[in-house]
Amino acid sequence: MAEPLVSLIGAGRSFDGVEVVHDVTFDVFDGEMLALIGPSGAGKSTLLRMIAGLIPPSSGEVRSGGRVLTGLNPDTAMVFQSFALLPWLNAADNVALPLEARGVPAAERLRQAAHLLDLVGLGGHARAYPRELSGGMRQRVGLARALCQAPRVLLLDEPFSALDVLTAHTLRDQVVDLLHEAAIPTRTAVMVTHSVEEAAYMADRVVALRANPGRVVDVVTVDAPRPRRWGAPELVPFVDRLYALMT
Amino acid sequence: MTAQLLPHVPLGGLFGLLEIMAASPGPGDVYRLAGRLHLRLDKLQPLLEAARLLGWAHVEHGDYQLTDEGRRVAAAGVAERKQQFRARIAGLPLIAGILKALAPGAAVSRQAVLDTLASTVPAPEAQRQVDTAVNWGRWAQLFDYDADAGHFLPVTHGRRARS
Amino acid sequence: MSHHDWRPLRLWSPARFRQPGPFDGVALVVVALVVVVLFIDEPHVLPRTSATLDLAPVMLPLYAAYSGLRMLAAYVLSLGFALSAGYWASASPRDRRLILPALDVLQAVPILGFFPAAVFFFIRLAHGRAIGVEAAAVFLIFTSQAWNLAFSAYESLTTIPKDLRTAVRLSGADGSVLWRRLLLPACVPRMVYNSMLSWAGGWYFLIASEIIAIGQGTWILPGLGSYIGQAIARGRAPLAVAGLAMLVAVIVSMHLFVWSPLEAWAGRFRYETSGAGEAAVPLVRVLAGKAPWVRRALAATGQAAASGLGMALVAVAHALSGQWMRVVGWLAAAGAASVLVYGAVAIVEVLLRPLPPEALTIPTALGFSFLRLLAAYAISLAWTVPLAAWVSRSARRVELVMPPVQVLASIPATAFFPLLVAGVLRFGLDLNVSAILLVLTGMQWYLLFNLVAAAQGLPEDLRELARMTEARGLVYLRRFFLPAALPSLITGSITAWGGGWNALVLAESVTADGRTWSVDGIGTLLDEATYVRGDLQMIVLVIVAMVGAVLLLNRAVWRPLYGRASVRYRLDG
Repeated sequence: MAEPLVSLIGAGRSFDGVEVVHDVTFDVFDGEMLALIGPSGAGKSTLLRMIAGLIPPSSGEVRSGGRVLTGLNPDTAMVFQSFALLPWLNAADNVALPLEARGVPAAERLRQAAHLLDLVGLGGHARAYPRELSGGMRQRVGLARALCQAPRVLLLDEPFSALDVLTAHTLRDQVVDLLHEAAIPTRTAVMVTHSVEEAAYMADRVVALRANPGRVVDVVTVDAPRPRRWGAPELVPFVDRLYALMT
Repeated sequence: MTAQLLPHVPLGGLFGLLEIMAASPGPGDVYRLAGRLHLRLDKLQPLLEAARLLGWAHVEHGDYQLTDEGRRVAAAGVAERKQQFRARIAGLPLIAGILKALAPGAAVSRQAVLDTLASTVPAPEAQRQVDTAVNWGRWAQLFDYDADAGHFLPVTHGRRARS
Repeated sequence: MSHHDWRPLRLWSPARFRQPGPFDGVALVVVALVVVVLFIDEPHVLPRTSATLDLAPVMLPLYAAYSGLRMLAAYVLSLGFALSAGYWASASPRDRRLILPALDVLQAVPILGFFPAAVFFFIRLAHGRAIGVEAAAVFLIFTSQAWNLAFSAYESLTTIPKDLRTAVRLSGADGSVLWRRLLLPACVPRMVYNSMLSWAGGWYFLIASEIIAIGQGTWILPGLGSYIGQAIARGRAPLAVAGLAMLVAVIVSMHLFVWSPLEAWAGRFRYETSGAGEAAVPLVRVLAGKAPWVRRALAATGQAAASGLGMALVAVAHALSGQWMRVVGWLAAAGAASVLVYGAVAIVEVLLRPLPPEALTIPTALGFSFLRLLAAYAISLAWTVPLAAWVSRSARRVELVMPPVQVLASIPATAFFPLLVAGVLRFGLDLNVSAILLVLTGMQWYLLFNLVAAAQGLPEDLRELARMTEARGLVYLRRFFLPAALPSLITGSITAWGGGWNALVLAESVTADGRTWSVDGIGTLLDEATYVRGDLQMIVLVIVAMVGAVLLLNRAVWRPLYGRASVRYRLDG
């Protein structure tokens, strides 16, 4: 197998003496969608933030692109459960924030933001403020902002949890489609979720975690063919397997 | 004549519903659909109303059925969905009114649009109608809206072509 | 649906409660030392010169402009201070433990007591030129504006949702992009609202500073306050009324053309904007109705005010994110340290001297003053509680009551002091009457605003329950309104007493008809020590006694009460 994009090697993390993540090892390979699943307290979000370089591991190490991570991971970008949009900026300015931070001129920022908004199905919404958008649309803006950083690995932190069932349904498909879209360089994603169905539906491999402290129970490869259908019978064995691992 | 009001639904939810309905396109019972989706009726009803208004589903006496166009839209990608949606909503009275007012190419104030609704719906609902019109019109890329100035704007050229 | 923590804005910035810690004491010592340093050379009685003010009414716009400029200068200083202190406290948990208690003490102590000190300090700094008095006035106004702004900046910065912070950090934004896109916008709603309060407080102090200047010394700052004071002193009542009218006009138009549009503009900087804002009472809508040209004019001025404020904030932010800030910070720290050491030596020296006989009168004077405050407090409660209870019965009543009250409250009662004293003298009333009334003006609004905020916060369920059980009058007060409002009543009381102590300094000793009228009290002692005898030791003793009394009351009465009330009567539990 090829060199992994990201590796956690015996990674652990404690907060105030309490171990949240214990000796976690897994790889993220190019072109795959990896899901982290587990009950609350399994340290899913901590692991995601360790990959982003936001939280340094207290033991073990996190590697990205073959090098040990010592600060923010430049190869990643994150999509948040709460969308994390700046309410005082319109969609285009929110999307283009990473460009602004790099000093890209305004006209070029607007051009790229419009393009990214088109990609996530929000063409025509450049001028819209987050408060004017539905939850699903806000999350699309969040997705476009993450893609704006052209990350090699897209980090998704329970991206559909705050959405209603139907909106989540379409957005899941779109995220999977985007990762297979040739127009953007991002092909790899790590997603935190607490929905077994969601993990089986979207992921190529699922890291099943257990809580207190968070640790890996097993890594399940979901080799059902794509495109997949929500609730399709060929996914049932994987769903069963994952439930069995976690209960 | 009673005004044709826009149902206030998130469009992502509408297409999600169509996709799920496409798996069992009907005719079927609305209550079963609601049960399968774990969706309360007060959430599902406006979505079905939107599908009906756009000609993508028949909804009658507690039964539903996707139309042929509804099935096509459910299977289509974003670009085609937008195109169908645009064609459908351009004829709705509120949207058509905004488009007509924008035709000369100048901005149209929100207040002017609200005024056209004033005689038919109470003020808070008129505000919501305009908000939904903004959402739908933006998504269809029929027009744009500047929330700071409170103006409807003709769609910017070049952007519409990308969709 | 929102996951963000956005607590509703309070109508009046409440006092903050923390666990009492050793740093409260440290902060108190720091403040005391600063005072002493201001007096480090023996103060002199200010020279009596025969400066006069041209009382022609045509001069009024000019005087209004002078007063406004003083306010503006102090406000810009306050903004800079507030953003720096707020950012500093939010960024460094270690320094925060000293900064917050220091702000707390500064907010609670009677700043007006320090005014004579400030005047001496700045006049000496300016070698006796008038600019020194101007600087003192600006400094005084600054002290009335800065603390709540600093708290609001700190609160805004620390309540930025965590995901938002992370997202911006991950996008690589820092320096001026970080300030422009995240930190400043996050501060806008609270800071706009607190700016309005700060200006109200500033007018109160501005007028006071101009009037004090007429008191014993004769440094006259051309302005609306001195105009009104001089008109009274020379017995020209119609001119005093004209001055008052001008002042009211300035304040009302500021509400119309600056604060209302700014508040509307600030709405877009909130994290969740569904539904109407809780605190914003759209005065514009009430007064202007639907006339389109009025709306357009207001929108235009609002836009101008917003972009002005925006530009000022961005300038401050650029300064804050610049490298030279570090250098300035170190210089300031070094300066402060040397001043503190110098002050520590001096205060020991002052306190080691034998006590003067007048020092024995301090406890009785404190007692008299306390009784006056108590009377004014009782009067405040007597009208604000029933009004707030009435307001609490329906959400619409707030919109009815608050716009005029907000304007009324920002008209500085200090402007009426001379008129009031003149009236009391004319009718041969006891001077205690005027003293209590003057103190009342410094207390009542804090109570009212906090109580109305509580009234707004009363859940609709409780309102309906009260209606259905037909609870009225005392039953409604005892069973519904007071329990729900108790935490707000206590925070309101603390700020009210703070305002009361401040007013006391002005209220007990008033100059009118060419002589000084006074009643026994701590304010009179301070006044005499400063202006009549120039007695440094007494000034220090009086200020320390006053600050001690304030802190003792807070610690022994309000804080325990608040602790109990907030546990027992929480509505959101």
